[in-house]
Amino acid sequence: MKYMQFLTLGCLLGAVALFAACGASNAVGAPEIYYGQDVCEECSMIISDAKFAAATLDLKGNAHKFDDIGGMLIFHMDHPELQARAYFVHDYDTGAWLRGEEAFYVRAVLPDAPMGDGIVAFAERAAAENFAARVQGQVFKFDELRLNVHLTLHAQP
Amino acid sequence: MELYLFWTIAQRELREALRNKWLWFYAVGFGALAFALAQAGMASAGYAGLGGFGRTAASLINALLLFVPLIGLTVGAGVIAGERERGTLMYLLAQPVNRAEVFFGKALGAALAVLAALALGFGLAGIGLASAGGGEPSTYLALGGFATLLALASLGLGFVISVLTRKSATASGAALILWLALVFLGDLSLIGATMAFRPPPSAMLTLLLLNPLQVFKLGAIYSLRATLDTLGAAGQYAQLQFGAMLTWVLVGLLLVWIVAAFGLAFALFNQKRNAA
Amino acid sequence: MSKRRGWFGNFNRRGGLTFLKLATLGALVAILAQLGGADALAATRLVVSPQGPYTAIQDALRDARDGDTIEVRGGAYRGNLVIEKSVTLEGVDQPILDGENHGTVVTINAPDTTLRGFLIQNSGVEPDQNHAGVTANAPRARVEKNIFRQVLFGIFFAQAPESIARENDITSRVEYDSGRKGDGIRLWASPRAQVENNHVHNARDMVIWYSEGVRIVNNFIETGRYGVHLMYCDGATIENNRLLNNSVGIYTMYSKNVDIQNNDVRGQRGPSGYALGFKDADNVAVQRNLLVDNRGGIFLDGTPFTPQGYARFTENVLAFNDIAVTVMPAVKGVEFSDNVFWENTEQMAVHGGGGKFDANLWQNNFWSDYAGLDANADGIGDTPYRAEKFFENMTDREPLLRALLYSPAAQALEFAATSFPLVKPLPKFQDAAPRLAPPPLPANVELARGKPGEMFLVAAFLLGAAIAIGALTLQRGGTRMTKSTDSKLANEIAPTVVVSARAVGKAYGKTRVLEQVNFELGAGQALALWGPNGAGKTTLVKALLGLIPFEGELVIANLPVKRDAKHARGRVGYVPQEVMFYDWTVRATMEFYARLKRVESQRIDALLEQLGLQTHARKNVSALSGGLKQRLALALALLADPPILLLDEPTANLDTQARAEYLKLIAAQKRAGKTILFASHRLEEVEALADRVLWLDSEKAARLLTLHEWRAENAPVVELTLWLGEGQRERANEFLNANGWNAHLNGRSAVILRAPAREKLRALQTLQAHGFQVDDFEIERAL
Ligand SMILES: [Zn+2]
Repeated sequence: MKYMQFLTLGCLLGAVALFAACGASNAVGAPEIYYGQDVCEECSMIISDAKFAAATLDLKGNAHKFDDIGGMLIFHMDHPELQARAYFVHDYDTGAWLRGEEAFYVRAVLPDAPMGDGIVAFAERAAAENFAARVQGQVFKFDELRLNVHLTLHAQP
Repeated sequence: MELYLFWTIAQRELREALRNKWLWFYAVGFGALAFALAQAGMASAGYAGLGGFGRTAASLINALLLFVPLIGLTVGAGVIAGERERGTLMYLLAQPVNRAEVFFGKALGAALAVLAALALGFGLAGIGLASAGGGEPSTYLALGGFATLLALASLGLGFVISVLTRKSATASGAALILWLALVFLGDLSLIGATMAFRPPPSAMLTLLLLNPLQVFKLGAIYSLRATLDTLGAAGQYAQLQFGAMLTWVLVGLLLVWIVAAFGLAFALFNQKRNAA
Repeated sequence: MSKRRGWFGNFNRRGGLTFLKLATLGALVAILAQLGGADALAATRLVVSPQGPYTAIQDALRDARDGDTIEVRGGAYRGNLVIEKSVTLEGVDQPILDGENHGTVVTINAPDTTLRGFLIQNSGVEPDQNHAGVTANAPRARVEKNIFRQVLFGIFFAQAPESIARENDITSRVEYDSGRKGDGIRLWASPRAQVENNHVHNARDMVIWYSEGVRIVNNFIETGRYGVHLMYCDGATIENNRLLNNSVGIYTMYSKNVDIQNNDVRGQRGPSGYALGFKDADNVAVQRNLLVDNRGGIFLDGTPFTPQGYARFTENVLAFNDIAVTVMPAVKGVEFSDNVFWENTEQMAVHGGGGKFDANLWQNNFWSDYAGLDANADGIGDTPYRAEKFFENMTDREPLLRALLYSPAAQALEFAATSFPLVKPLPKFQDAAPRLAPPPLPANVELARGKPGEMFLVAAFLLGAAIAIGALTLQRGGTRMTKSTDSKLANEIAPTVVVSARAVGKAYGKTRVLEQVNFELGAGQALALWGPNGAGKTTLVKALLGLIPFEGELVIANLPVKRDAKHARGRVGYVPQEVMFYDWTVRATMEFYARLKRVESQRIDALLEQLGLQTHARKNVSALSGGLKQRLALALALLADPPILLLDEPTANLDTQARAEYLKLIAAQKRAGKTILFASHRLEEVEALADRVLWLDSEKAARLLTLHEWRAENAPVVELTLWLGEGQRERANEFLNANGWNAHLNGRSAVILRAPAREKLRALQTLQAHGFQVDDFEIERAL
């Protein structure tokens, strides 16, 4: 029966596509965020604003998406079993993806920030310092920011 | 193709198909089930009244997924194989008609019979809904529309079986196997594959859309509830991907199934011309 | 697992504490100012209208003093007002404040300011600027009874403690998608603010930041993103609100002592889609809410937050949600009692699977899928309610599988799991004392309204459609003779050659069945198709009918069969060996084929009469004898009065008498001028009917013979009994055998010679030429 052959063929094609898709996620690239659709893995809020959104890839190649940088850091503090292989944040000025480990961060009171953490990232130190001066914020490098978040946001109950 | 001959043959096929007791068995079975579901789920007072039409009708989807392909496949499988087995096909073809008139006349007649069965089933269920004080006519008709498309697609697949088999018993058996494959086996293997490979929603959706029953399901749920988020990531992906076009994409897919199935059946029917 | 983020209080130094202090200070100053000045200065009323006395609100504001009322009458006024005095702006006849797409329409910088009764429209839309309809930066602002249209944000209370937003109707920019829109109402560090009786629609969120003790009451919030979103808002009260078709209903994050009561939350859908969500919240009391038709009813993560904290869900109704309650696996200490769980697709899910069976307390809830009994009639089921569904556990672990919800396959799995205890699913929780009956729904609850009247119409329409389709079979419709010109044409031309075959051949695969068939037939002529079984007779019949492809050319009544098989078939009356009829009466059968051949029904009666079938017209064809069936077949063949009859062994299944009668009928047709082709393997039929014979022998070329030749061919070996002159018998026998003849002596003094029929004379001549005297001979046909 030809129909069954078609069906089998379709299933095979699907399976191939599926493996291809799985394979693709192993590359170190920022995962795609569907704004307005994806929810933050830390707080379950809808991710709407690319300026603040962040993501990581864990050692298994699975993507984790967050509505803000603070949420990203807290999530990985809470989930040592999901070690991050790569952090991704957005440049606040250009909206481009940056590697989180290499970015410069500003923390300030930003009413637009989805979580109130008020953390944004920049590719260049100069841009970060510029912005910090404007919003009376403080500039951090990645490890400093982690410490800051751990001390101020990641308090135990 | 002469419409007059086409219609004469369609009419004969319709008369023949309406005599098929299975058709009515399925139609009344579906209608009664739907009637009962409507009565149970649609009381317009108390907690049930919180539900609204979409919720009740969604419980019909299961019944439709079982009955509609069964009607289409069994009716379709019997049409050509039955006549060939009885020997009437050859005599009919020896009349001043061409193969297209015979094939499509039969297809139309069988399709009308299936539509009559569906209309009966939906009509009975509609009375159940209305007498329970509920119902949303436009969504109900949309559901009926998707059911019709699924019925025609499975009728087409039934025709393919019918053209390929010589005995109606074989055809019925093959139709049941195909029904089983579409209703259960395909989905069960999809469940297995999902557990094993965890495909991305896009791949999941693609695999779903390969099965006309799932296309129907998506269309039915979407027209009843105006959202597919109840189906999780794959449903959301479908909405994201197709947006306002989603309904028409699903309708289009079912139409493709219908055209492809009947087209294939007709091609095979013409090929038989060369065989003894 | 979840860790509490800093509460507002321990937020960093630049955070909310500073706002709070400033705000409180500001409020105190304002109160003192009012207390001091109220008696001394009587409040005055300034009037702004297009006709004056003031025509611009700015002018009135300039002249006003704290405590004054500015009455603004109907008309349009420029927006971008900045109110620096504690005045009341009172709109009469809904005057318009237009921001002209620039900045915030009204900014309130003075405490105790009231803005009432305006249509506020067209704020600026620059991102990051929070352009709003009304922004209040001072305590106790009152924003009442205004309509907001085409603004980015609606009302923004920033460090405006104890402010009130009441009875406003707010909508954001309709053309933006939900992420780009502004919030309908945003509160930032505005403790004890009140949001009451507002209607917010098509805006993004109602979001409350760092504000203690807010009251959100009696609002109707629809088609937004977050209906109400609490961020660091301790002591919030959310009551009597209606939330409809937002992405999320009420989302409580990092807040404690929150009361959520009597809200009606329906249709929250989309990626998040929770009616009520709680993230790291503590001391949460959720009562008497109606959560209906949401993707998720209640979502819990890190709630209750502290070990001593609580999260109590009582007397809520969760109905028709996809998943009534979703908890993260680590959630523990939640109490669900006296709730109604009615027809949720899934009653409870542990996100990602797992979780502890007894992590949370479930008691005295009603479960619509509870199947236990109540023997002691105390209203409590005798056995616990357990959520144990196989496929649910699968979807909890792999949410992608939700795509297969509603599939029969999913139910088959579920059925298999309940039938075979080997794979019995682990229960997610149990309610040890489930209620058997739900309490009655409050009377004021809005129920889904169906349209039974229209539904009856639709049902009637559908049943009518079914009947109408059935009625289609009754419609006979007169036979239309539209294209009868064809047959007329054929009669006019009346070709001398009615049927012709040229070099016709046919192979099935590598087997040749027909080879070199050539013949021409005129009117009134009959051709017999002769040959052993498998010689290709039926194949030639099919070729003549154009049912199979073939080589060469067949022409029927001037119509080439290859190109116009359909019309060629119209010139042929075909009678197969045994017609298989549909299960109809004789008459119905005649009628159907009459319609196919476009023959008027009068012809049917004539033919029935002619063929002696009229007494059987009402009989079902299956009741006819074989002879009558073949007559019916002939009647059908004659319906269109075709010039040609094509008969494929029509008498094969008939007894002797029926056969004889049938042959007479056919002979009569021949006499009437029909051209007849018939396949037969009966000599007497050929003798009786045929003018010529087409001898088919699959692989060899077909031969067209006269009847005479056929006879000769057909009896090719004859036995001659020869009586020879005296004494010549033995010699003649030897002579014949020596010369290649087959002869032998018999007992009656004769020589028996077996010879091909056409050689028999030559044998006699040869004998005579060699001096043998043949006295007499007899011919016996060889078998
Ligand atoms: Zn987050």
